Amino acid sequence: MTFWPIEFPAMVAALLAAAACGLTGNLLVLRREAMLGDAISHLVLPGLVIAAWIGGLIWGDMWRPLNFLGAVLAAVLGVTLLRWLERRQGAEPRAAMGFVFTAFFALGVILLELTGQTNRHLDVEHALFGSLETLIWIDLFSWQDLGRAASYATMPSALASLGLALVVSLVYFVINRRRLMVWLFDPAYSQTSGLTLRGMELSSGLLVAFVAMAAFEAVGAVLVVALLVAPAAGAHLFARRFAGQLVASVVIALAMAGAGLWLADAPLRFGWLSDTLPASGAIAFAAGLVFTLALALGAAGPRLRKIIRKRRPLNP
Amino acid sequence: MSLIDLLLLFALASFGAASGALGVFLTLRGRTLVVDAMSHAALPGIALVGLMAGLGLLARSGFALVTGALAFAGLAAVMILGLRRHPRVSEDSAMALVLSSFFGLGVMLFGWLQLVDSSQSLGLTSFALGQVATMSLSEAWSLLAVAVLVTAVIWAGYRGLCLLVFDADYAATTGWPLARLDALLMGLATLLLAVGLRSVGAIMLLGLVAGPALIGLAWAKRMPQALGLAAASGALACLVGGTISLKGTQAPTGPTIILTLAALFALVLAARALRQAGTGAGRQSGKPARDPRGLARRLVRASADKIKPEGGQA
Repeated sequence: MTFWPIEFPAMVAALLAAAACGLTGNLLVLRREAMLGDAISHLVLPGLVIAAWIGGLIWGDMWRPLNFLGAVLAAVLGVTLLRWLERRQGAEPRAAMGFVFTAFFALGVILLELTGQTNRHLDVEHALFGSLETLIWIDLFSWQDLGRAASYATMPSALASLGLALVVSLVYFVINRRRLMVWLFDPAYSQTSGLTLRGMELSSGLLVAFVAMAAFEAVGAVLVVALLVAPAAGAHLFARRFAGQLVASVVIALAMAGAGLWLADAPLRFGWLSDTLPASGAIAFAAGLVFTLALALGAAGPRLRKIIRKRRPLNP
Repeated sequence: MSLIDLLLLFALASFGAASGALGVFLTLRGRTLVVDAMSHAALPGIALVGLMAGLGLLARSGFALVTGALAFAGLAAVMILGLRRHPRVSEDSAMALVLSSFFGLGVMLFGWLQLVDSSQSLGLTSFALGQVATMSLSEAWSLLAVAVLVTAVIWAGYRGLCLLVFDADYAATTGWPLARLDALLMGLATLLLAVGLRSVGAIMLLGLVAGPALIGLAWAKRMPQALGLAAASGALACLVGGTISLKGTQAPTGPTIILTLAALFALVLAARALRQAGTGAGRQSGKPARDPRGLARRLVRASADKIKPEGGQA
């Protein structure tokens, strides 16, 4: 029986990461800055590597709060740098962003190679492509164990940080609901009505960095952007209201994670291959597929609506 | 260092020069991130060719790999262009969507490839981050050939490309085939990234396109100067990165190239700040250079102050 100790934590991690990223991604997609999510997911790497290295020196293992601090600091530094290049140095914005995030990522990779021996939880491949498969919950053998406090001692700590990321993003959206609506859809009005744009930019950037860092371990740096962008972009095809957009993006994100997990597992289940495929890649690909489906439904939408209306008499 | 290593380095450096020069056009046209999306999207093409070779459907050659990469990069470009037309999908979302889902497919297919045939030398990490040491001689020749081709096309189509990136509207009204020039630019970029995946890496190619261009455009006042500077810094960074990874260290090539470029960029920015401090006025913003006491700047600032409302809220 491998489901509870091995497959269950991976599943929970993927769903938590999808929900947190799917919700947070609205901050990027609705401002038409999806590539900033790509940038932030790359920017966090050097901070994470340095923090994990320091943690390894002091405690002999990485310490998660320090990792978060390092990652968020690196993201803030990187975004400040690229804004400075674009606003003060007159660099072309997209090239500046692209160069800054690749340079940060390159620094992270080199640091990872240099400090690789001292840390057993981080290596280049996991940083790039995620490590859902390595999450193991040793003391979990059946669903009854979920009710026992003792079994939580060996819970993978990635699950805790993903849960925290989901809670933090939910709280952020609930508290700032109205403010976000104004800021995302009408920045000019939000400025005249006394909101500080810089405050919103900073807080949303911090939230994205925090969530990206939490999801980073589950799906890897490059694929975080799939979970950040695809759900919100998919929801945006249909949604008419802000609340609907938010709920739809979370639902779509969960569907994407579920489809991805199934896709990774399918070749083994049908006996085509001897092992499962990488789940992080499968989730990102499934995100693309689900988005394509949403696009097709959206294109067919008016026609479908017409058919349904024809069947229903207008004046009963 | 053996003769082969020297040849590899030479090919890599000329490739760096060509992508630096092309990067200037791509940057001015605002297309750098599209190139990033395309280079990520090329990975499943490589994995697919590897899989087909593993199943005995075709012989795995450098040519087949480049063709696979080209096909998927082209597909990604078409999908981005198509998605961008959708009224509710922004250009950024289109790029991020295509980039991540293609890259996810690549990760899946590489995982599959490893299950089918683990003896192959096709590693995902080396294609993502670049590794000169795994490069074969034929790949070095293809780098060199593409570098020559790109340089020749830039030289031949210089006027048209400049018009495209500086004043597309004027170019269109005077009868230049704008769509064809744009396609030419993107085609060259696709070719460049397809051959550069192995040595520079899918994730790092963006840096080699954007970095030299930023350096050239930050310093130069004229296009030929910018192109020359970009080409030189691209070549230098590739020489440094290639040498370090050929020396037998484990460091992947792409990140060393990018970090060299970052150091060069910092130097150029510092030098420019010194130059501006020397001449007194900000020259890069198109103001006349001869303004020793910064009069023009003060005038502009004074009038801007007058326009501001009382509360100071702009």
